[in-house]
Amino acid sequence: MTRSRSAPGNQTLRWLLLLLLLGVAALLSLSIGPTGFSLSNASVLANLRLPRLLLGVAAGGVLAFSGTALQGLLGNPLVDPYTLGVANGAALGTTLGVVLGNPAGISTPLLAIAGAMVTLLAVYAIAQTGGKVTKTGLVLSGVIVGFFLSGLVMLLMVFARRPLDQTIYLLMGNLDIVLTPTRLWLLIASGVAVLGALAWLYGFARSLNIMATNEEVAETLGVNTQSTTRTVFALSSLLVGISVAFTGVISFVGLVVPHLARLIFGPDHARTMPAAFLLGACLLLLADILARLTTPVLPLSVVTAFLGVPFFIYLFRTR
Amino acid sequence: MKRADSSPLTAHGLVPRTDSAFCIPLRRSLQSAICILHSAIILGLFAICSLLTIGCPRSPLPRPGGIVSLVPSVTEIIYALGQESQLTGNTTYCDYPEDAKRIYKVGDFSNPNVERIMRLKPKLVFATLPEQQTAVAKLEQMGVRVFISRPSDFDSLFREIRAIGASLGAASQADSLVRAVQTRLAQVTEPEHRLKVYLEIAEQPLMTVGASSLINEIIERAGGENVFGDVAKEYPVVSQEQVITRNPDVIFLLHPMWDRSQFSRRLGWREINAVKFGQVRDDVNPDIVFRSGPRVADAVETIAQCLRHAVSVHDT
Repeated sequence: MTRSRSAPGNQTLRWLLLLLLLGVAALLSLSIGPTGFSLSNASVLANLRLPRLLLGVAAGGVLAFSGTALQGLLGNPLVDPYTLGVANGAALGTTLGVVLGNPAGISTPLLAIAGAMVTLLAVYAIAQTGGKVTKTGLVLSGVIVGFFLSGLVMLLMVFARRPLDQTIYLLMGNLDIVLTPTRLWLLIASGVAVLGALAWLYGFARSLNIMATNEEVAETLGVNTQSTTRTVFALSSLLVGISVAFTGVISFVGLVVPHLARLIFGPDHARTMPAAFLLGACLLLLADILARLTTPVLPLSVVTAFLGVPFFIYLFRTR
Repeated sequence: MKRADSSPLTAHGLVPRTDSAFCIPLRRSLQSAICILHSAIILGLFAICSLLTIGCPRSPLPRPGGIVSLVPSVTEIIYALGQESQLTGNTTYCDYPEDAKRIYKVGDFSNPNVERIMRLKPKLVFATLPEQQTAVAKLEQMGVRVFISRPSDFDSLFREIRAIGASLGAASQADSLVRAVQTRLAQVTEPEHRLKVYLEIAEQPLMTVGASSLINEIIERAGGENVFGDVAKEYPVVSQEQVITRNPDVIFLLHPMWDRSQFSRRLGWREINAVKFGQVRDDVNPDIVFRSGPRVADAVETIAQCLRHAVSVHDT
């Protein structure tokens, strides 16, 4: 990547490179199996690798996209989609589903999504004082609720006699979900909801740009900061909740990919949000390829960190 | 554009806040919902804790100087040796034989309560690692003799049964127990040829058994070949594609969540021989497989029988 921040000619080139990278990652993801490079048969491709590819693109993209929106909204570079506690709510739902049984059905992801929704409302209600929410209030409330919920997750795991290994994988990310026709339908329905939420959230790109400069200026420029805060928070949380419901908590992507996107594409949210989506998708696909090459397979969060950190340090140092 | 709440005038209380009519009841109901949820959770936790601590032990404390078993398989060994009269405490997991449920409970398998163990003043405690690391460390610190049970294959299991027998003054009983198990193992009829076996112990994520697990040897002694027998880890996490590529002939589901009819709906798994030939078994008692005690002979016999059945189905 080049150093000049917003020369228009370079901009197109960067987008093309990014799309190319995603294309290559997708092809690799389809063609690499447990024994290395193998195209395998049609059934494996259609039933296992294609869903895994789409899930990877969606999860990585969604985490990075909402991470960018939240960092912009809260003006805090250390915020990631998990800071606001919603992921812990989804994880609690997942754990509850696994502990209660019936994982062959769809109760587990449904419980996870429900957990995310309840957490979203709780975090918002706690953060709200006198009819309005502050940025600090949201972050604090999210962190506190998150800690409480992760305590509950551990408690459930201990009482449900789960081996620690299973907890780690359950909570540290896995794209290899066993699909049944019912689960596939739930996944498709969630995909549609995610697309809608992404489009809606993208509509706030301009408001986020203005709010990033100064909130009071934003008010005079006609941005309703309260309703923007509320909607961006709710949409990002919804997106992250759905993502955790299916893939578990994949760390790093939502925190650092937004920074990568800003380093490459500048501070304009209209550009960094889609760029973060593509970068997040690439990173997660590549991480997933590495994670599945070994036996036993690795938790995804381990690989995303190993892959992303050196790349980030390189970009950060060359700036 | 509606006046936003964060304007300087509102912030200084000069203008009344413009809470919308919708917001206030929503917030109030949310807050009360959270309150109720919170109290429900706290009450629930309290109930669980009180059940755990005061639920079972209304009976008088057993006499001191007995032995305590924190491992269900060791409890089974003690009963098989006929030494249950020495057993003064065990865990809520110890449910076989039936009589073991009536022994004084010192906690559950992963959380044995050291104080409750100490009240029994035991002369010997049987425990396992790494699950009971904390309790073992505390007990040893207080000078209690701890016997660590962790057999990784049949030979170490037999050595362990003899050592347990010796420590309970039942060496000859241990000797005949080992001989009895070995005789039963020698009499197991293996299937005509070795079939590839995949044994699933969890679905989210997929978990199976590897070479360092005693279950690997159970499969081998029953005349099967563990498709993940080349993985060293005790309970490795694997991917769906790895299972499909290794194409097992028989699948054992050792977690209660999935049954065979649900199993056949898994997308992409129909390619597997075991699914094609209807050789997915959900009817094997997980306890006989997981507990490395005298019932390993039952496990080997049951799995060998399933494999012989599978061979006849595959051949026709």
